Amino acid sequence: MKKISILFSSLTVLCAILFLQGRTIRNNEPLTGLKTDTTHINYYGSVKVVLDNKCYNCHNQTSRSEKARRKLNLDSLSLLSKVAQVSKLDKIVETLDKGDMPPKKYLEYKPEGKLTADETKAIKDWAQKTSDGLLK
Amino acid sequence: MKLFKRILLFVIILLIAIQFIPYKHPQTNNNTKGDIIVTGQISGEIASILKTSCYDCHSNQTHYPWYSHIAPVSWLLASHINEGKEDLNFSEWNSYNKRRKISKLSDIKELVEKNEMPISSYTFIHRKAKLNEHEKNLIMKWSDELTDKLLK
Repeated sequence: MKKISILFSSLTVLCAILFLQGRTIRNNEPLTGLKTDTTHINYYGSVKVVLDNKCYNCHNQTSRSEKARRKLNLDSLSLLSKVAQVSKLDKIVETLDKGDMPPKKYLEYKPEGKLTADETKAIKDWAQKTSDGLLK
Repeated sequence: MKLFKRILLFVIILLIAIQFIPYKHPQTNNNTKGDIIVTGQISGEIASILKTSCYDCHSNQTHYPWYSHIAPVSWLLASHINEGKEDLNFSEWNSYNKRRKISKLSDIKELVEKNEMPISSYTFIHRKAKLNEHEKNLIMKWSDELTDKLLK
């Protein structure tokens, strides 16, 4: 009986270690680095419509998803520092290249939210053009 | 006693069986042309910190110790390293455009400042990889300086 307890305890500890190493690191800190003066962001062509229809629901100031707001807040993008804006714009490009947005779980109940090839290109072109402008 | 022996036997058989499940460690690559250290863009001190604390997951020069070939550790390592290299790969630094470099430097600074990198499951085994305050400050300062240089 004692040996079973030892074995069970050992397995529990092993499982705990395996679980903990895979945990998501959460950041619950509020958005920081906002400035009062703004860098005006141009939304070229149709990209504003695409962002409004396919991204804004989660990536806005009052989003219920703290994670989505922290990753990208379209309401305050122009208030960030130059480096932070360039960073966010690069993340948009990188995320779209990986096909990670919109999230698969979201698309399961809202398949119409999927980005078309043209919409993806429009967002990437806008992100690249905007960051190029900031880096001049 | 009989039950304990059966459970133990089951666990041993399971551990042996999972060794036969195929896995693939992310490949190492000695072609270091685009590597941030090889291209001489950083100081010896920063290079040393990156090699000790970052390169196993964030470069093509991962060192695989003996236990990295034993399942399930091998699976966890493969997953970690693949994810790490996808997020940031110092061996491909020169292939990043300016925008990407600035973004990665910003991430490095933020994650080091918050003690989120290097990850604790890695530093638990690799004690020397854990950054002390001096090393953290060096990395953050380096991130700022290189970012300023890229912005000019």
